[in-house]
Amino acid sequence: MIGQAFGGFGLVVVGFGILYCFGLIAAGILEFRRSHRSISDEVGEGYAYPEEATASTTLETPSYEIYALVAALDEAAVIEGTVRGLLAQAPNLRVILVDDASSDATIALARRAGGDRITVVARTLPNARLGKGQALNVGFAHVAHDVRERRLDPDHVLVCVMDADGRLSAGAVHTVAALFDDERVGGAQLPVRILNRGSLLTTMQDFEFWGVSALAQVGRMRTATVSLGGNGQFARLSALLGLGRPPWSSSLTEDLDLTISLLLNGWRLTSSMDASVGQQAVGALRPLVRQRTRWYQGHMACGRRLPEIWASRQMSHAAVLELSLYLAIPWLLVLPWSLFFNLGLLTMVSNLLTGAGVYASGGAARALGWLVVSFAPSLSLGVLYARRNRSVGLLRALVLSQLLLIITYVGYVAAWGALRRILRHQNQWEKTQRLADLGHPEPVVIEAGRG
Amino acid sequence: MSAWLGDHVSGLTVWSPGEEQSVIFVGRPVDLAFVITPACSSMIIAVIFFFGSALLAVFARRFRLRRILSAFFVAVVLAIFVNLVRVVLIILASAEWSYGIGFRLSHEYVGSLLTVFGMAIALLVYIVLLARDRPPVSTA
Repeated sequence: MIGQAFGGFGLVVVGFGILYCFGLIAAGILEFRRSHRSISDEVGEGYAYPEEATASTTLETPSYEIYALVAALDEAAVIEGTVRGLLAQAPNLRVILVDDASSDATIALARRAGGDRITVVARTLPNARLGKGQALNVGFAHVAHDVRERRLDPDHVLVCVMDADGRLSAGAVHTVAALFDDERVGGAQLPVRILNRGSLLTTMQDFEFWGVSALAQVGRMRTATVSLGGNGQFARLSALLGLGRPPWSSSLTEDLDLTISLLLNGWRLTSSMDASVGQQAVGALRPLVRQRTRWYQGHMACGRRLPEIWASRQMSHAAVLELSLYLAIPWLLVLPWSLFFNLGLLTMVSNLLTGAGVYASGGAARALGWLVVSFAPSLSLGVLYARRNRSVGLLRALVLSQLLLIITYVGYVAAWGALRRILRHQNQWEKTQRLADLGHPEPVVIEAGRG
Repeated sequence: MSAWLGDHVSGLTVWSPGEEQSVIFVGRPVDLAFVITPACSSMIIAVIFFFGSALLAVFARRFRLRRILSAFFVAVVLAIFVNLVRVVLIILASAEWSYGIGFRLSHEYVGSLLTVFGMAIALLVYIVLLARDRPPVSTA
């Protein structure tokens, strides 16, 4: 009986994984087809890789005023390019740079690049370095004040959150602005591309973000529950003001928290098939595990908002179900599957070596059969990635799809680490350092749940 | 099931002794015998959907009970159908290609995949049916 219950739970876990992950990707591909677009990054008028877009100038004025919020801490290596790239997107775009007590030339370089179209909000210690959410809220207060001064309509003002090393693809702001012509849309998240695709680990992250997550996000456009991220995030000012509090919470995943809050207020959240945002990937395994542990911890903690979501009269049933499944991923998929997969693997290897159980005869062939069955589904992701990324051939993409196991194991370690931290009530985190920042000796402490 | 198989698959003799329906014989005299255990059935899937639906009925007031019950019914019927297809496939493959190849391939690999995908499809149908319930009344 216990064995059957165990098997039944395993069936639910695998069924949920197939349904949610592959189902959303399939929904994303259908969405591309329905709008007569290719999933390849080669097509689209004016579309370009983010790294190619900084020189592009699209000086048509979108019908929305755009404020780009950039929280920066010691970003001298990248900030000039970021500011110039943003300003090249639209003539009515202003950059609000919130400097979190940088010790380098971040402010001077940003001012030089931004001229009279940048506002620098300089925070000083001890009121600085209190987390990205805090910094964004300070910038947001300046946006709200400026909009009041200029007597702008908050319905026609968009707030864009960018990482200090973020790069929008050519024409991204115009593409996103058009999404907001639907007055029910409160936010939009651009799909993420990894810019530093030089190593295996960073390429794997591009596979993950661009080859898998971006398609799933497009799939989530059907339920209008696209999850906002920390880079390339756009929101309608009136939607943010409607929250009645500073938009970005002290949660470890303030972007997911904002996603839920906007959905609870009845806004639709969408994505784009014609634009993207570029960012740096983490270049080493240990920081990657640390980053993912923080993400998992924030994601798992957001589960506490499920009662609000299920009580919501503003959200459709489909949105409630989709968001609930998304929040359940660590609990119902990653944690249990990490046990099932590894226990199954250990049992198989052990039985194979001892010739026990079903492996008493033809053991090697049986084991090989199971390995093929287990790894075959990810080959389909390799085919997709080869189509998504024009610089990767099919063979390489297929090999990469099998190496996704590395990222999968990073996820396992991170999810269990996050659970351990939740049980120990540990909320302090070090900021993920940029590759250019790795020489800095002092960690920056982000503390969730405190002012 | 044995009667249906016997009637519809030419060249195959499939039967069950009257008092023991959970054993399926192939051939007269018997070439193969299949013992259908509870693990072969869709019972565990039905139990999972039952508990899920019970939780929804008690705690999720946004869905009408009628809609929860109909989603439960359709998902379980679908799961049972996929499982029947699996069992029939195992019997046919075993009869066609011998126990060593036919049974192992169809039971271990194809059958397991069918069960997993059947579960995924049943879940999908269950969720879609719930999502299409009458929309909640907005307070806005």
